[in-house]
Amino acid sequence: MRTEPAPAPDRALADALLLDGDERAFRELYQRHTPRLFQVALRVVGGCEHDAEDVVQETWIKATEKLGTFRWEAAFGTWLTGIGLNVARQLLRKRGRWVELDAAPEPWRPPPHDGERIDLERAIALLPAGYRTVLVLHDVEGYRHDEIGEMLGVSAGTSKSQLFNARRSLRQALEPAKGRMHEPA
Amino acid sequence: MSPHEMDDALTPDERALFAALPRERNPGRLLEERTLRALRERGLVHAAGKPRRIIRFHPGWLTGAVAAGLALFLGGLATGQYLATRNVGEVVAAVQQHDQRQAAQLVQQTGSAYVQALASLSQASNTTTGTQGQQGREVASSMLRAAADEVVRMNPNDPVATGILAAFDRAGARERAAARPDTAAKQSVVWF
Repeated sequence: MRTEPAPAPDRALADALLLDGDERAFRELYQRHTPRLFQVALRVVGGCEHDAEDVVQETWIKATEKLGTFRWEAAFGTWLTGIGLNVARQLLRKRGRWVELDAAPEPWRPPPHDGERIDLERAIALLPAGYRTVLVLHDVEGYRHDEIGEMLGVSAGTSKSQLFNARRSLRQALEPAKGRMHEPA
Repeated sequence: MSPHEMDDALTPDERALFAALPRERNPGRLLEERTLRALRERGLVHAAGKPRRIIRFHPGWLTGAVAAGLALFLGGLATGQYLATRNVGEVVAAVQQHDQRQAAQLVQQTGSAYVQALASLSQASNTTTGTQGQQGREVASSMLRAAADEVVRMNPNDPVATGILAAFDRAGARERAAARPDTAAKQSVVWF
């Protein structure tokens, strides 16, 4: 019986890319990590596929440029996601859609209710960029507050407070369609 | 646990909703090609089968390079020590001689340039306005006077330079006299 060879670890591929500019190594890394990166980027930029594609491309360029500085203390995917978040933030900032997370709570008003059901994905996309980013990282991707703080350059406390506001706003957005998701104690 | 966290924990329904969200999405093949092209343009990735040429140094070559570097350093050090211990007087004399030669060359070059500029001014004076010609002549005169001053400072008995300065003095006296109301009609152009 013929068995498939074990996939090369990220580090071996990254070394081949760094030392030899190996295209095959890049393609394998790209195909391994891009689906997740693209999904995170898509949610963080608010659902615009074109923007998410730009974020993914720029993230890979920056990651390849900085590959020599990566110390492999974290998983390659986590490092890549961190770069992707910074790229996405730069893009949102350029468009005036990013408010610094240490600043006051972002102004937000729930969308007008027209009786249509708003699904969770749509409700996330409607959140202000800062809330959305923290919510996606914590509740969807499962990162801890200290990891989010490190990725976004804020304290873990700021991340917690942003998540609190994000969840409250999300519940308001979903309320008319689904009924109240969470009654405070 | 902060009050935020206590009030804000996700309900099981909410957890289930979040868990049901897709974690991955494929952007399509075009983006991969676009990204690869951008990386190739920056020289970060090379086409398959064409690995980037990396210069690998042979250990013997590296040893030779280190030895050559060391020899260069020691040679420089020895030269510096030799120069520092040479007769200081000889060094100063050599430097001064060199400086004088350079200064003489500079005088020759700028003198030629000065004469050429005057010739140009002379030709241009036929076509330029009176004010511009006058300004040019004034500048030329003050340069000539400054040059004569320097020559006299170097050699107080230089007959040509002292003659030039005497002529300037006479001309200045005439101008001052001409500036007085009673002598306003006197000649105001100085020839020397």
